[in-house]
Amino acid sequence: MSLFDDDDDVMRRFRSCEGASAPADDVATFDAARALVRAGMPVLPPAANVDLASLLREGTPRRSRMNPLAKVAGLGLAGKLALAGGVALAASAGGLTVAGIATSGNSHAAAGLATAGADHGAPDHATPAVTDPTSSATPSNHGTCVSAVARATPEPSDSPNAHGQAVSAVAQSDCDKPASSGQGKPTSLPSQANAHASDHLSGKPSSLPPSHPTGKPSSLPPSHPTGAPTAPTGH
Amino acid sequence: MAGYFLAHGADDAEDLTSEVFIGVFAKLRSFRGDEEDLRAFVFSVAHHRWVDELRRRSRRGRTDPYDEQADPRWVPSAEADALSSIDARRARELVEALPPDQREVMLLRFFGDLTLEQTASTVGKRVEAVKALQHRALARLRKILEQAVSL
Repeated sequence: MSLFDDDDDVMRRFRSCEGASAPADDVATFDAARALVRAGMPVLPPAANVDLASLLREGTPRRSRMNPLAKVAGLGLAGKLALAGGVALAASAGGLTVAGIATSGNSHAAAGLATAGADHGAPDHATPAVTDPTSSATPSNHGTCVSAVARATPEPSDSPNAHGQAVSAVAQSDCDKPASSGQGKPTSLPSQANAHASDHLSGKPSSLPPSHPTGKPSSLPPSHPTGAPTAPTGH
Repeated sequence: MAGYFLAHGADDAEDLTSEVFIGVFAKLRSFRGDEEDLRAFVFSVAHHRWVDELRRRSRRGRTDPYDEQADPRWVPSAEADALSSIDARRARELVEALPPDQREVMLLRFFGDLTLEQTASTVGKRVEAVKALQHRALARLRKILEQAVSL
């Protein structure tokens, strides 16, 4: 194998001379001189100096040329809404409320859902995931997220409309919205919905309540006609 | 790349090669093209780096490179002597026989594998001028090689 694998390619290019014919003497001389000159040079690759070594080790420094406004402009509609909701919350709601929603939104939502269920006479042995607000597997959706904010007590120092604005902002945000589902569209396939329905008919409690097809919050789980344990199901 | 600088007679070919690649990395984001274009781009950076080196030398004067054979502590190695000295010396003689502009064209063609168009673009000349330089260089090289063979 040649030290220079591209010899053939170079010579073919030279012989073709980019469309013009090269004299045979020139080709032979080029061949010989090139081989001679390249043979006289060291074969081992040179060692990188300190600067190149550090560059290879750490990579080229990356500079962000986008200013913050450009970054916001680059966000999608959902991202802008979520950002607007977060800003509105931070501006209007109390710091404690915001921190609570931001860090444990699912827990608040679950607590709200559990409270609603108790108010409307739902049985105590509802799905554990719903009744346990600290469970990490607690299901939540956009409605429960909005409900949690709506139920939060406004700070006395807040402006009169602050609470409403906060609820509105969260309602317009993507809080706990599934990424793949559109507004008002069912998140489960019909076959899955049927599976839930068959569970419901057989009296089996469903451990994973699907979101409501209409997008409404399912804070009021219907009681089962047979009196069996119920959970929010897809209709 | 190091061979290109060594053939030019650079004292610190390794360092120059590193500097070329540092420059290439800095401009790599703006580079568009295929493998051949990248090769031409790299040797274009090398050519400009060499031109800078020549300017620097003219300002500060040339320093004599370390010659290990002139060092009294140097112990000659038969293998190294046999393998490198003859080829290197002949290659250096061949390259140094060419005027600077012809040498530049031929070294870019020899080491960079650049086409005539790429070479012309790199050295800032027209393709016809590069062809003429190459033709004259080859005529001179042919004469040297024929003399070497006859000896």
